[in-house]
Amino acid sequence: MLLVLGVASNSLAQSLSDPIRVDLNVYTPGTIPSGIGEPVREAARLAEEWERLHPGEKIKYQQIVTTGGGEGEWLKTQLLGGIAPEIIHQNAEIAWQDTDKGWYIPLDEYLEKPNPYVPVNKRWLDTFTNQALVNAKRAPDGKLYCISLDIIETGLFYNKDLLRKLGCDRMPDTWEEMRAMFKKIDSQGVTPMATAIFGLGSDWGQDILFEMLYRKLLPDMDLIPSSPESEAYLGHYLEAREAGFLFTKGFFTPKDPRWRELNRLLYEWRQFWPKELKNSDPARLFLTERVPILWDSSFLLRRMETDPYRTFDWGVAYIPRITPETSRFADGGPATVIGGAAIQLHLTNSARNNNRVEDCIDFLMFLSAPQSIERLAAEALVFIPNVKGAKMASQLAPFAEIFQRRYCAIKWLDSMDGQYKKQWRRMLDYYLNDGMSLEEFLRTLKLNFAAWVESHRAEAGWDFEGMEKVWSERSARLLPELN
Amino acid sequence: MNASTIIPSGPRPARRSNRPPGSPPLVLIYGLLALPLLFLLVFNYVPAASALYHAFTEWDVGAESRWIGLGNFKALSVDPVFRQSLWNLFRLGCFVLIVNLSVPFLVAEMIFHLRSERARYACRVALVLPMVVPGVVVFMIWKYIYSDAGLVTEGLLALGLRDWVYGWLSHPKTALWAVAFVGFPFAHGVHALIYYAGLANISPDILEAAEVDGLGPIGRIVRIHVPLILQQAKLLLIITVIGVVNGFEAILILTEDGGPGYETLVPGLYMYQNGFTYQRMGYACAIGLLMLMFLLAFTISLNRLLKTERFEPGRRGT
Repeated sequence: MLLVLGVASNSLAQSLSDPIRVDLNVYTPGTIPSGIGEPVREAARLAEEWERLHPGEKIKYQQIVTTGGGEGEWLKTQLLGGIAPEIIHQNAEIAWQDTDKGWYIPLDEYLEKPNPYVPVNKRWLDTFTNQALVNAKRAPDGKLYCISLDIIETGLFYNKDLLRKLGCDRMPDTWEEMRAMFKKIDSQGVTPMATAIFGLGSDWGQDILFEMLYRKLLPDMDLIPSSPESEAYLGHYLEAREAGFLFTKGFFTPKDPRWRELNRLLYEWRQFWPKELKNSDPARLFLTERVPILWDSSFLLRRMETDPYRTFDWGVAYIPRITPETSRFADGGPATVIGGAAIQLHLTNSARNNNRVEDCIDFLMFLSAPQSIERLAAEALVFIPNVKGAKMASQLAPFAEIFQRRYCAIKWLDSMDGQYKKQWRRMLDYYLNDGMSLEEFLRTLKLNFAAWVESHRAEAGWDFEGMEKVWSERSARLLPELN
Repeated sequence: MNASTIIPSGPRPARRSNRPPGSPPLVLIYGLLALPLLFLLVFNYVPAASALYHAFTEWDVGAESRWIGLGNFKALSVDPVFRQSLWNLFRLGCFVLIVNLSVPFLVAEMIFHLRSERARYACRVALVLPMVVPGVVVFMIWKYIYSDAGLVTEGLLALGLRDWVYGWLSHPKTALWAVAFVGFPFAHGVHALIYYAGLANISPDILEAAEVDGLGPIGRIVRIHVPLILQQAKLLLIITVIGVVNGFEAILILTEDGGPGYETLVPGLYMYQNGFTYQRMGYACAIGLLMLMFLLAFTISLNRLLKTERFEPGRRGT
């Protein structure tokens, strides 16, 4: 008995003296955001300051390993074993897939308490600038498992000098204008635009085109309304289960003319991108003036500011809107945004296993104080702080303006899990690179979609019965939209 | 006289130890050997045995495994992705076998025919030098070569051949061959040196006799060199086949997931993806077991079919 007690107390003492392991992604000391310039150090200084306030405590930064296709194999294994870093960055939509496993700790209880590192506040939750953005990260179970420290947004970086040389004096406002402009550039032997196919390119392209073609139907398609707190930001965002349910009714299949149109337009757009999408460094193509336009995120700002290759004048615009002239399904409204929350810090089961939840929360509060996030953001120069009172670097202003648009209605690949997501990406890649026709692509996607829905529909959280009731009231309006 | 008449009767003499005097006691030697043997058992044999067992189970990482007999193999037999990966492997394997066995042989022949020993030495060093560059670096360089800002595309653009530019690793028509072409000009150092060692081992008497008999350079290569280095060729054949079947590092770096579509997917990568991405470890073990069985069957068959001993100098043909 004594031996057991001895071992237990020893283990407890050891866990108390162990450092809190933190993954801050791009802010992790030693990281070089955007791959250029000096490594960031500010997080290390902040950790030292926190340690001074909490004698005996230690922070150890540890960036989580991303392997292979970025499916988080390493992290999932660590979470399964309960040995992941206590604090990690993870896209909330991906974490939602595993919240039922107890891998993440809900933060709601703590967000209701004041943050002692912020001078005047009643609730930690209130200290974040964009409340809707923070609340948009609530999991389908209604709980908030992360805090959104900052904001990332995408934009079209354009080379003013090169565009002028190519006879283009302004960035396009509509899809038709873009098509004409790209044709003009292409005819001069220049690839009009670059992007990264896995990330900003095809999959996010699908998400952005989706909203512009389905906008009219979204109020009816949104069978489970977003929470009132996140409504302002998410609007009619389709959760995975809603997309799954709608699929069973014929949406997102070859019967759905908007779905066909979306993928047709995406293919057409891809024809103006570089041939080797997967392994080119699109930013390098842009910086070395091989392409005049680059769809990238605010993450590129640091490189734009410091890369010696960049000798030209540049600006930031946004994806043009699709008008009825391009597609009968479009209403001509503006394209939505897709970036949103950047660093989303989650508390893992390791914090609970090691009895460190309170300490971790305290460190999170310290990090999310305006004076902390302002320092982190200013040094990295890639994200907009999402904390009241934290100043933003002036270079980020165009992205802050773009961020004011509505958020996209779905993030397809973040909604899917494991092999279905992988298969989707693979087929999209194949289709966009002329491996299969649009018809074949839609058929393949349907098979993948069906398998994904089948693997989830029995889950309690998917609640097909509840959605069926809402559907029965709206089907008369929605079904005629299918062929 | 039969054998028994010459065997002396009486007590058998004590076996003489062939251990050198002053050797440490056997107990100590076996004791020291036990530790590495234990490690070998724990880290090599147990996982292999575990994989063998799990090939017959449904085993999602983190969950209990469930015995399903031949279920995984039945699923593999109708899995179109696995079939595609086998077809890719076959095409890739044929190409790699041809170039890996032929080009190094030609290189070895050229070095062998150099008159200056210093030149031969320099060539051997030149073959070995690239081997110090890690394979990953080589693959990364090739990835860059194939990129839009890379050598191939930029070269074609410089020549005004914009229509000839492809997404070399992205286009379904070119991806597999772009992967296969990595390593050009295929003068693999180890392979060429193994061939060269075989050529250097040929008795000068045989070469002189061939010359006296009037064999020309081509005749000497075909009728003397090739038969006498078949042992080396067999070794290289086995090494290459094992490398092609098991290896997927180049594909993982160049096309990441075996894409576009499944155009560059090979069974090794499919096994990896099933095990570590889809967390279908039982299915992955089944693929691994099939690969192992193929390699065993191939090696045994090759050893039986290609009895190279008969070509060794000093032995009569059988």
